[in-house]
Amino acid sequence: METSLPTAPAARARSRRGANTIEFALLLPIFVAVIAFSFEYSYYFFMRATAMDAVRQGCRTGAVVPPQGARDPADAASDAIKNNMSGSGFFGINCLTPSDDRCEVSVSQDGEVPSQTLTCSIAMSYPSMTGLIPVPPTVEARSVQLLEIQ
Amino acid sequence: MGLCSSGILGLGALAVDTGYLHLVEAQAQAISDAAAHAALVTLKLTGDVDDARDTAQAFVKSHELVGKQADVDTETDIVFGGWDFDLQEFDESASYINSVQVTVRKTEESVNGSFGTLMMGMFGTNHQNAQATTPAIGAMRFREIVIVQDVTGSFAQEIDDARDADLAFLDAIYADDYPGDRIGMVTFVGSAVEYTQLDYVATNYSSIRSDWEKIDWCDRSYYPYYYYGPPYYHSAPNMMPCNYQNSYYLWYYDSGTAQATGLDEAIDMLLSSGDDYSTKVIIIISDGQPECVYRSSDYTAEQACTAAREQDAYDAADWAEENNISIFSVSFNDTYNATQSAVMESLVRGYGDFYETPDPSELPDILEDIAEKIPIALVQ
Repeated sequence: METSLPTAPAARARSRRGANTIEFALLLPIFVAVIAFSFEYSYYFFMRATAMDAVRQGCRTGAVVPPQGARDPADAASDAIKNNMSGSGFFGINCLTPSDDRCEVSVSQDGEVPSQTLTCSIAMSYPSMTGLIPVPPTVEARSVQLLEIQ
Repeated sequence: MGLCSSGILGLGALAVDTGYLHLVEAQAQAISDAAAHAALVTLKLTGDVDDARDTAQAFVKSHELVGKQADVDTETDIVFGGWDFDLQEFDESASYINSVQVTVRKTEESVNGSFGTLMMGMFGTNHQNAQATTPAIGAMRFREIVIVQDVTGSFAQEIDDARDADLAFLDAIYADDYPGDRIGMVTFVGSAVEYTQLDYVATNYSSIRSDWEKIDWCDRSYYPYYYYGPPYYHSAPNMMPCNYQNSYYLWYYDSGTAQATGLDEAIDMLLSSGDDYSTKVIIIISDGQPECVYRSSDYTAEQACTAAREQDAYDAADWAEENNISIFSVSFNDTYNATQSAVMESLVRGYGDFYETPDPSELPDILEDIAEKIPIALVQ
């Protein structure tokens, strides 16, 4: 008893350190997964919001172009969306350069007077930042606007 | 360690779902904006609030929110009212309607209910509420429009069609029933006068129309024309005289055509209107190129005067543009004059447009078309 008393706390401490290490080792993948998940999805949501804003603003630009004018509303919207997206910082995307094929911008003019609409959409492949968490492979956004001049 | 891991997991969940919430709010805002814009365009085209309400709902439904078709309550989420540009406030109980407020939401009380969280469910929060961060308010700016009408002698044969066109335009603006819209008219030959002041269409429609029904080509009831008789003699006492500044020595000669004088007079009217928020528009209607008519046979001086009047017209148009005034230009060109066509087209500014026709009976349709083209400004 006399010899075991001084060693008992040290043994317990060593045992606790071991338990902590095992706990940490078990939880580390979860921590990493949580952090990776947070990074991935926060950035993914940010990029979706950015794409949505680019499409909304671009579609609005096209919606104020007279259909009978020198410029087609759909072309004006498409150009504006590409321009907006190119300045967004989305993985260095440049929709104005033909060689950058990551931008799939689609604009269609539908309906009859007085309900002609512009339907604008964009789809871009979204590469995972960490490679650890599965994320949706594309960022998509869509907007429908009524032509201001019918 | 357990406490620590729960904390980290909680923070991660919070970060992800906060990002998700902001995305849903941004989507709701974008849908609200599109719906408010569509409602205003419909309101402008039809003047019918119910049509505009239906359009707003249709546009909301044409979008997806959180993977499902978005929807709104047409009574509580789409509200029409008046927008006060001075106070920058939406007034649901205003006596006039020039504005719509649309709020797309995903809340427990909304049509589609709240939306599911991604990670916060681990902590018992399965659903969240989201709505457009601010309601999308679309408002139409009131319009101030001045028609600059050519009343030179050369317009004598077509003045009836021009008058019909002016009245058709007035009727179209009146039909829109926007209480803040104002309209005025300037007539010009070699000089210009304010024919009718900027006046509220909604309340003074009858008096404006009565004045405009008397539009005629310029007055030529002076020597020597009354010796010649019609069609040279022309008594129109409510119109400006055709001769140059009513000068005794130049009375035999008409004063030519100076679009610049008409534009300058119209710009002065618009800038002194007192409404800095209005959409300001000039519609110039003419059948001739800028020109001087000299009594003497000094053709060099006459040509220099004509060139100066052309340049003055461009300068006036530039002045309008500097003050955010748009110009629509309507050229009546029956015996095609390329110079007239080029000059009139060059006067277009802002979101204005150029129209040309050899047929005076088309003028009313052209002006009705212009009435529809004056755009809507969306305030948010």
